Amino acid sequence: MSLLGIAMALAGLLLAIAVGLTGWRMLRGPGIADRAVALDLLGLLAVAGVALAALAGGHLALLDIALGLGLVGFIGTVGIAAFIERAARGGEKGDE
Amino acid sequence: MSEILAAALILGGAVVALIAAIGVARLPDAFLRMHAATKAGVVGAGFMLLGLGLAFGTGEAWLRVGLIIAFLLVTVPLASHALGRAAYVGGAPMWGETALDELRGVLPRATLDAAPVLRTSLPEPAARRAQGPLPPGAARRVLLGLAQGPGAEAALRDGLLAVAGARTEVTLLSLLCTPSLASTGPVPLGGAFHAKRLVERRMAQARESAALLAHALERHCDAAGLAFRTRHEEGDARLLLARAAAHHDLTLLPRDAWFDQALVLPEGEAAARAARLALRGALIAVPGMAPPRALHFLHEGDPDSGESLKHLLGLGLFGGLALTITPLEAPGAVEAAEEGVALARAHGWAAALGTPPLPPDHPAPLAAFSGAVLAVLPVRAGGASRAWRSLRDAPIPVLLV
Repeated sequence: MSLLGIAMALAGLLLAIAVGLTGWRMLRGPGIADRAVALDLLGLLAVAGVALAALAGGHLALLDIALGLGLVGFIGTVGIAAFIERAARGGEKGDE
Repeated sequence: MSEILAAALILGGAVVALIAAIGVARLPDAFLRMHAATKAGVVGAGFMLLGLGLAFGTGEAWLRVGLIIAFLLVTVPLASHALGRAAYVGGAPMWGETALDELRGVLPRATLDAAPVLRTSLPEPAARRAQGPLPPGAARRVLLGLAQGPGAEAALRDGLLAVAGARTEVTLLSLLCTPSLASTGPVPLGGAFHAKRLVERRMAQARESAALLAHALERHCDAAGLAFRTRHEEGDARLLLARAAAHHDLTLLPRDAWFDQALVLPEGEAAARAARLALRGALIAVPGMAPPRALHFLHEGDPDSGESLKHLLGLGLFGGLALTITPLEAPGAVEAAEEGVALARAHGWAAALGTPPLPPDHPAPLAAFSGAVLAVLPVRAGGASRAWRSLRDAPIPVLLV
């Protein structure tokens, strides 16, 4: 096994642990903001994971998926943020 | 060589990504977790992409790697900024050790948007409370009206320390006068939406500042070793205050503050409002007041003043202090004050008649009240007394009975 192969295997293991921790935070919460942060990080980890997969398989085309994942993660996070903010404002109005 | 570098970059990126995940899992609040997720996340993914570019080594790979990294560097800060703002507005809890909140008062925040009920009720610190008979002259139950305004915290603290004994129970009443806080006044055409937003913002800020004031006074009570409990209520301040004061020996109100925290009042207006409440046993506190060494009662010579004096004697507060009863210039006031002195002596007070009679509606000799002499005035049902009017513009503590 080449040096790069060992590094890739180790990196894959570390990424898996990272995904596990982040997923635990996303399930645990406790607030919607905590879940959104965890989801945001999951998107970044997915980009890293896809890069790893592209290197392991030798398919450069997989990198386009990483680009797409980054875009979806961005739009998703901004959407959740807008939702949280609107819910907070709407809640205040509902109190009157 | 490039293979070693690529392996190092990939492994390093994975380690940084793992650190980001540990941060997200372990840090105490959403804002700190975001700090870990975005910075370390971008660096981790970026390192791995750089390693990949090195490993492939072709121009096509470098082009895509460069694009993705540039894209991440632009979007992740944007997304986390939007998310952080939303978390703040949405009232995500903040770590207790957070030292600086620069958005306080800038953005509305939903944290303290709690229902107006009993906010906290701390267990009575039984071990701390002194046993044995109550020392004479100490207040049993004191109500603190947490109005916010200039010097309110200092006034309430000093007033409380001036009257409290070791076994005094303190009730911190945090009140928001919703009728005056929520009024918008005349609104131009199309301005209703904006006016409503302003009211919402004002209420949120008032709740937050009320909670801060309550917290500050809780700490003062704690430092003084007093048993306390905190209540938060919203509604008509006069009604709620009168209701709470009915079951306390003494009600402390700061001189220059009322319960519509956000509004600025003219000088003396807050004290005048407090006097119009006609609470028996209300202490208008000022910053820096000391424990009184003597009391000075202003007698107006009418039956109401006599009732007020009787209430003062029956309170059981300030027992053992010298009491001076000075009549205001009015028919029969001197005789009534003499009767009052006789009543006070019969109650065991060291009472004396003040001379000469003071002219009503004339600034009373303030020198008599400066320092450790507490002015005691009779209250009037539904209005201020003449004695009160003669004193209301002076920044001295006043006890209304």
